[in-house]
Amino acid sequence: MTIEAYSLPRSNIITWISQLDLSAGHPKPGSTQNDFPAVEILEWFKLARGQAGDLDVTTLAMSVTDSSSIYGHTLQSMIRPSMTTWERLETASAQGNETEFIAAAKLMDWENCTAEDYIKAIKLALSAAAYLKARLLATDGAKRYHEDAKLQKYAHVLAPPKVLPNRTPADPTIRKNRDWMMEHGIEYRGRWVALRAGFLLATASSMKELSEQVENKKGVLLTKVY
Amino acid sequence: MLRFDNDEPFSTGMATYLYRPATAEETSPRILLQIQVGEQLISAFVDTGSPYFLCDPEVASTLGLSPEDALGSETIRFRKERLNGKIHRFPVIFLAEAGENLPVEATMFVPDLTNDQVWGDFPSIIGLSGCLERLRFAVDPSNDRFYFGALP
Repeated sequence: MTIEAYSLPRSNIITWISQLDLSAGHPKPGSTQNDFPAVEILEWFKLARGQAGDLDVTTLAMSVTDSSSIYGHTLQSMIRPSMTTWERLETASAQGNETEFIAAAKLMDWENCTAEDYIKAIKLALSAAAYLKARLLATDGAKRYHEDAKLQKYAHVLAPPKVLPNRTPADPTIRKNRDWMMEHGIEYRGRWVALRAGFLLATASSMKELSEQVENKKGVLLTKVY
Repeated sequence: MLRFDNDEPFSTGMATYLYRPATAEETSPRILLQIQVGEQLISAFVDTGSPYFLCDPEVASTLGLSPEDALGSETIRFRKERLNGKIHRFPVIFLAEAGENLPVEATMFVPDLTNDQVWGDFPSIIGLSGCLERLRFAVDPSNDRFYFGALP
């Protein structure tokens, strides 16, 4: 059974509960959610599936005051086994659910994934806000498919930040830019300004306009005044 | 500079930050730093809840970013909303007023500006994953100082 239940309206969930209720031979066909406290419902779902002990019930605690949320989460646990791993990854991505994405990724058979599969998964991971997972997938994919230029690029771009060797001495005058902002910021709020060592060089309504006004931008702070 | 008990340096650079809301609509103050992106000095605020270095598209348009160095169009999450844009690898320099500047090759996200997506008047954002995550950093609110340094 494939059900996209994450955003089902409450009435649909109740209907679905009733259907499962019948299919499981539950003694109360047609029951509504009011007949089942959350804990009982979970046990009943296990009964309906003909198995027990393999549900991750921790998500149930997310909301005990909102009954529709409880049912939504119960369903989520229940429908996992009937979704393919790709469907789970896609759903988690669409929801921006990093935790669910990582859980689903653990079930993926990465050994049999192509370079295109890796790229698809990386994109889904980014959209799921699973940024470290995206990096790991890019790294693993690039190792496995070292001839794939696109995966190499993903691995490079998403790699951990790297401190570069060319350190340069501090410039104490940048403090004066900050002090200018403290002193004059209110007068220029919302404008773009060009500052060098605390001196105002130009103002404009956009970065582009400001950039055109300042010929030598080396050492010049171009910023909107916040 | 900040040091460990054994006199090893914790930080190698320090800058005084501006502490104020980042946009006219915001009320919470932010840690606004001066930072160098490519050759350009700009303002950016620290947000460890954000990923990457999120570059104000207006700023990005002046940087001469090469599309060849970017991934294709990607979607990330910013404040729980989907945000489309391009991801680059680009040098960012943490500017110091004492000690030394710290150049970092970071992951940079540049939002696309389209009819249904606007960046608003946000400054660029210094996020954790892909940018700050491999640095030591510390804040001294008593004098608005931001300390930073590389890992050994």
